[in-house]
Amino acid sequence: MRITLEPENRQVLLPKVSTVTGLLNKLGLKSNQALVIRNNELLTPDEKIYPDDAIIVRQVASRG
Amino acid sequence: MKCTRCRQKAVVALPSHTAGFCAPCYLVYFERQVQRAIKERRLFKPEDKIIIALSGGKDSLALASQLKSLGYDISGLHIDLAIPESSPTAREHVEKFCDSRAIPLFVLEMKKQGLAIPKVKSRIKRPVCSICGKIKRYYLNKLAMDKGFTALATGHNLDDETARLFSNLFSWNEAYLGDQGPYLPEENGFVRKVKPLYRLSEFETASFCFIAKINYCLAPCPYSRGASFSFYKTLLDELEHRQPGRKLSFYEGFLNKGQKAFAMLNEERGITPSPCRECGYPTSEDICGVCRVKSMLADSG
Ligand code: SF4
Ligand SMILES: [Zn+2]
Ligand SMILES: [Zn+2]
Repeated sequence: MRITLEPENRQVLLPKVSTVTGLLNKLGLKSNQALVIRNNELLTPDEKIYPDDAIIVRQVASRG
Repeated sequence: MKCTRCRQKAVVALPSHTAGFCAPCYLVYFERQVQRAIKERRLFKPEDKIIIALSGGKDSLALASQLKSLGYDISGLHIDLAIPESSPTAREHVEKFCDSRAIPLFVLEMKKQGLAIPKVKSRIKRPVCSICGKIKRYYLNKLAMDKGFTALATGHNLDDETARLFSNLFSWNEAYLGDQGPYLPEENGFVRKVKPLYRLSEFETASFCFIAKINYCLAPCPYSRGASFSFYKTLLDELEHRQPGRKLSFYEGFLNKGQKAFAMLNEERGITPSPCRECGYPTSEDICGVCRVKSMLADSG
C-alpha cells in the first residue's frame, strides 16, 4: 500500500492494514486529525482499504 | 457508512454530531453550521460590509467561499509577510482564489512598511510570533477602519478557539477570557471582529475545502514551531476522540455561562485604550506596539 503523507509530501510503505481506522492507528493519528483520500475521494474510518491502493493522508492541523 | 440525510454512501464521518454525510449533504451541513453561528451570536447582517482576513490557509478560504455563496457583501485582505519560504505561495493562493470567485482583494505588503517578518525576527529577542500576530491584527484593523468596513471576519475554527480557551483557563488569564468569543463589538477605535467558523473543527474546514475544490496553501510558516497552542490542540484531540462533541459543548458552555463574568471583571478594572501618539491606533500605552517595533528597527538600522 502506497501512502503519501501531506503536507510533508513524504511517501511511506505500510504493512497490511485493512481499514482506514487501522491505517490512522498505524500512523498515530486520530480520525479527526487527517483527511484520508483515495482516487480523489474522501474515506470514512470504517472504509476498507486494499494492498494496491494509493492513499493520501492529509493532516489538517494548521501551522502558523 | 451511510449519509444521515439521504442514505447514500457517506464520505465524511462526524462522531461529534453522531452523523455522516455524502459530499452534497456535507456542503449543506457546513452552510447550516455557519448560518447558525451568524444567527445565534448575531455576528452580522446582510447589510454589513465584511472584510475577511485571508491567509491562504484552508480556514480563511473556506470562510470566504461560504460567505460569498450565502450572498454577503465580502472583500478579502491578505497581509504579505515577506517570508521567502511561505509568503509568495500563500499570496498566490489567495489571489487565484479571489480572482476565480470575483472577490475584491486588498494586499498589504509588510516589506513596504519596513516590517518584513524575517527582518523583524533578526532584530528581536522575543518569539517572533507574538510580534507578527500584533502586526497582523494592527493592519487588519487599520484597513478595515480606513475603508469603512463594518466587520472583520477571521477563519478561526473550533480547534483554534477551544485551544485558546483551554490555555487561557489554565493560566486563569481573566483579561483574555473576558474578550474571548466569536463576536467582539466595535469600540474604542477597533472594528467589530467575528469568527463565523467557530462551530466547525479543523477537520471539518479541511473536508469542506476538499469537497468544494478549494486549493489552499499547505506551506507552513518556517517560524511556526510551537505556535497556535499546538500542545493544547493535541490534548483536546484526545478528549474529543474519547468524548465526541466535547469541544463544541466546552466552548458553547463558556460562551453561555462563563464569558460574561470575565467580561464584567474586565469592565470593572478596565483600562480604556487611547490613541497611539505616533499613529492613532488604539493602545493601552503611550505608543502602540507596532510603532515601537518600527522605531526599534529604524534605530538598529
Ligand atoms: S507562525 Fe508566527 S511568524 Fe509565522 S505567520 Fe504565524 S505568527 Fe507569523
Ligand atoms: Zn447525503
Ligand atoms: Zn502606533
